Amino acid sequence: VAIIRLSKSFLKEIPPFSEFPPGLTNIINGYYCHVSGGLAIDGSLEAPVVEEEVIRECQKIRELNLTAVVIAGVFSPIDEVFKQEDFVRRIVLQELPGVDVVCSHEVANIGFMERENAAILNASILKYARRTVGGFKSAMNRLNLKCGLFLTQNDGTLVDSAAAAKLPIRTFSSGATNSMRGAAYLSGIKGGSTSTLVIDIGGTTSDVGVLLPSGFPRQANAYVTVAGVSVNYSMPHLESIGLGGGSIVRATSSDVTVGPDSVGHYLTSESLVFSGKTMTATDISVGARKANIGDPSLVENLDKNIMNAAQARIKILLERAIDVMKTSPEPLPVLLVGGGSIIAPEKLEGASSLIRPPFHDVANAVGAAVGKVGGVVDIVQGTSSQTVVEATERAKKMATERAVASGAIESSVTIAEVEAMPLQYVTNQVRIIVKAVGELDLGFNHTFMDNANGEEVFEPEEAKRSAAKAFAGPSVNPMTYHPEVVVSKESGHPEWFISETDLNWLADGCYVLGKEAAYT
Amino acid sequence: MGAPAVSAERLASTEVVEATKALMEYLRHDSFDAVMALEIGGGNGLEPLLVGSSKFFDRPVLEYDFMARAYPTAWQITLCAYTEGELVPCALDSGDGNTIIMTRAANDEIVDRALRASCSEMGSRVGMALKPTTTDKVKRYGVSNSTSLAWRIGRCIARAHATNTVSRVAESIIEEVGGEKTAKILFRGKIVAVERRLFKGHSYGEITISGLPADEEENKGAMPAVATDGILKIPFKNENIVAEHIVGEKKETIAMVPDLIAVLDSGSGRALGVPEYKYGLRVTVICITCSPRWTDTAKGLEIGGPGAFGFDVKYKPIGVYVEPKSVVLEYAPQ
Repeated sequence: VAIIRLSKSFLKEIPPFSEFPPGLTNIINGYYCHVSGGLAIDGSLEAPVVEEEVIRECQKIRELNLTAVVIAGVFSPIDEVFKQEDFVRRIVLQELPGVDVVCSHEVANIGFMERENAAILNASILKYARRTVGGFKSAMNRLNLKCGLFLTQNDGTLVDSAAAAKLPIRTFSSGATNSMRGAAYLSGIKGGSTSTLVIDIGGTTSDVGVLLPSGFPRQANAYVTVAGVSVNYSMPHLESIGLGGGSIVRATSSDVTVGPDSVGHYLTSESLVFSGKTMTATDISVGARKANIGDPSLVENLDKNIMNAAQARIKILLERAIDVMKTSPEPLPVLLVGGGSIIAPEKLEGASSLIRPPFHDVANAVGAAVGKVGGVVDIVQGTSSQTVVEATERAKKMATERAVASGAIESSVTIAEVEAMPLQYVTNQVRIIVKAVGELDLGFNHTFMDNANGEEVFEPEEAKRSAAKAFAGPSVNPMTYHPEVVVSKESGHPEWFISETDLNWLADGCYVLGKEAAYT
Repeated sequence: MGAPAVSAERLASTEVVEATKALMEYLRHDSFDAVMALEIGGGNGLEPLLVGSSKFFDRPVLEYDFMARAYPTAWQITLCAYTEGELVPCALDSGDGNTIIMTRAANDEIVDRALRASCSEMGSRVGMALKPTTTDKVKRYGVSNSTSLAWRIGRCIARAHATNTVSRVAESIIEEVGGEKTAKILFRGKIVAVERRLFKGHSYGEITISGLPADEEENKGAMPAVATDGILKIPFKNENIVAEHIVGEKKETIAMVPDLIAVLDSGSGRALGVPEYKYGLRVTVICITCSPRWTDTAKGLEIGGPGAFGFDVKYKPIGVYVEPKSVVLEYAPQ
């Protein structure tokens, strides 16, 4: 991915990928540059875009053979007049026909770093998204299904396939949301007395989330990270680890590891119980007679030590993940769902009970099937002739109408989210974001941007190589850390040399003491 | 100085270094002995580390500030509670080539007002360097060990994350800053309403926090809060001004400036700044007693108390101030 940043004077102290895990940066960071541009907070120009500069950068991007370009301008979400990102996109498409271009303002809101991060992640999975949607469509054709194709988004609402292929980032954590909603539906949880943890174990990864007593997933608070990268849009609060039914088990003389890589959906050809050659977490469960899949006789003679060590390893991985999700040490009930949940042990430290709801292996599909239709409104309104409350009411009405227009049953529509933000200092402008959700009306006549090219060849993906999630944790132990204080030769006074750890702590502490976020 | 939303877009930059250079040029100084924060609260608390770093001036940073918190205007500092005319000459720089030096001022208050107006026209975020001060004034009018205070609070948060005790981070901060005689948990709950408006470069508004049903909290062994039922309203002007506890018709102001009222995100254990207030967030509100530098003089309370924000309530401290323990002295080689 190439990144073009628009700002004449700012951003340069903090380059893109500053908050990315190094492994991911190496894979994604193709090129980045700063060109003239950017806005001020009142929507006025910081500097205009200089076409020649962009063309020059396009030449470099062409030389590097990069096929995805992110355009991120300072204050682009409030750019109603100059449309700088769109202008740059036109130049880029002219210079580099056929590349994928992602404008940051279409992905997320105010908060440059997080918006840029989200746009980068979105750009890096566009091809994958198109292939996935194409694959769904050819599957539908083969099954002779004549109906619309919806994808579920991270928040549990549905979106049509064309929109999903352009903004895959909005859908790529939906699996967990679906599983949690499905688990809630299947277990009939409604207003239990405590929160419930949900572990969804798939073929490659496990996602741990929290169901509130209301039966809805806990939303992540102000800070959200995807694969270790901060982004700024609403997501369910989740911890994902590289552990699933297809996780590869490796035994060395001293150690047994499980995952994070997986045979993925090749479980039924590569795993031992299906006469394959790779030992997977599923084989361990079958060998330990905890599951009956494939041909159990093929794993009858697995080394007991390896089986025990692998099971212990799986238990520790899951316990760590649920511990991260809890906000206090008290044990909570745990729902186990997903096709891979056969690999889970009978007991987990930190869980008061382990429940497998009926049909738990299809909780994800059930959650998607009970998905709701949403309508989102994001508009800027004047507040000189109306109050903020009136403006909000108007936006709520529009959101409800949009939800209904997208196929929601009108009587079921509720407002799920309201946010009002003043936009400018001088002219009383307020930006209001409202989200309404309702049940999908099955009798509704949906219109779809159907892919005419339904015969597109769907190439099966290769075995997944799930990147290892960094479990390193803090590099220093905050319980024992000593700051570096030395007596100055110059003054004779002790002086404290601020380390990166000190700086991180100071930033968090200063923020408690007041005002704007400290960026380090 | 400026709007947090600008920092969220323009990211950290070197305006303060540029402003310092401009002021030194004007005063014909070629170096300085040390640099210190005007306010430790927020990003401004870290700026002196940038100015003093080996990348720029390579000078020591003092363990002092003039607030031990943050306030919306530059004259709301302990230095102004004891003295006058210590702000100018000062320099502003907006990082994109514009610099302003204010050479004279009839009073302290106009300095902030005039510069803030400039700031609005200069992109709403500027770096500022105020008149150099003396060791004597720092010792007499500054708040000591405020850098240590910030570091200790930050360490509480880091430790809570390391030990999976994020739900107890408020308690550990309170223990760290002097215990329940100095600081208290005011309220736990969920933000149910956020009202905002911007006026002359300040963010005004109010949040309403409603208590959660006991079954949604994981509350075993938690420190009791000052208020539990009803709702808590916190009006703000960049900073939280007062905490009003309301049950039915009964309203009581349970905390107020200059004591620090901080809203912590219960999920992350970190602070929520005014721009991040959002419906549905679970929060813990804490209050820490202010430094006596604010309460020693009538002028201190006048410029830093609730009256300075138009609230007609008499300042009642939440507890007794304890000086934060110095990190430098604690970890100095013996």
